[in-house]
Amino acid sequence: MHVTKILSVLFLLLLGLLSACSKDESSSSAGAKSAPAEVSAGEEIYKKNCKVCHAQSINGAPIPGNKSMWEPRAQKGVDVLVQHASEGFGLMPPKGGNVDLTESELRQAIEYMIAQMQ
Amino acid sequence: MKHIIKALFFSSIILSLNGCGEGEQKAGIDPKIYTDSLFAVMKADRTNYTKLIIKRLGPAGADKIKPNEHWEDLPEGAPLPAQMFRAGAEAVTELTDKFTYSLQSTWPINSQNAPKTPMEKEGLEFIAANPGENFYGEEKLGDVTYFTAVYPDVAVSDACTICHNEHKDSPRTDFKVGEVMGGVVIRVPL
Repeated sequence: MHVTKILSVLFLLLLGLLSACSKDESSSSAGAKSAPAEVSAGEEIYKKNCKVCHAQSINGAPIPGNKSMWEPRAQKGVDVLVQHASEGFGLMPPKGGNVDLTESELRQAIEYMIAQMQ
Repeated sequence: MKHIIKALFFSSIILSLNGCGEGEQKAGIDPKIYTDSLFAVMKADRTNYTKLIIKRLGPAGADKIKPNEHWEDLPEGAPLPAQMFRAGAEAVTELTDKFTYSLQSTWPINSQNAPKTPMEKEGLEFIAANPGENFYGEEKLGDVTYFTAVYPDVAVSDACTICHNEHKDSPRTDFKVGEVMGGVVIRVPL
């Protein structure tokens, strides 16, 4: 009886350790099962036009989600950022090089990038 | 029965000490973090050279220097940002063999800057097809296995596209601002 109890405790301990080891795997497979998030228009515009520089901070382009890069820019207000993006600012070329982008599309992309701070 | 208890007991101890076998993987710096960090420094230096020297003192600013491909032939000539970047890569090659980096392209003006290994070619093709993404892989060259990272090099101004599109040795003449023109290949021996 005593031996059975010890065996049970050790077995549970092993089980616990093994399940802790497989924690990452199970959480990633759970993530894979979840439905893909809906892509906003702003994100779509960002991916097609802005990501090539902004994801890498090419020529200092602020990276979405990087608070220290975006906070001082966001404080200027979206209207100012749209104007900068439209006309070019610092090392950023006008409209990132895509002259077909409208101010409304620039606004959506900027709002998407600002939203990544949260 | 005692043997079973002992086996279970020691298995538990070994598992808990081993940390699920992660101990070995966590030793040293992850090569991806290492190459990402190196690239961050390279990017920052290149951006600062472009902004603080070329833009400030060049034709768009005080007009005191002449950024030009043939800068050595001009009294006020200054190397283009890409040339400055290459000069850094060459200096690092003399300094250390712990890592190398180079600016390459599948459409190089100078054929020496074309990819040389299958992984470099794969990486450059990947970053061109996936703007904003990096490429990471491992390749064996000789007896050494390397971690190879490829980061995008983007046409950030008309100066980049005009120079590449109009250069007599350029194999491609339709680059647009915002396109991936090539990549920075960083290689670290594992």
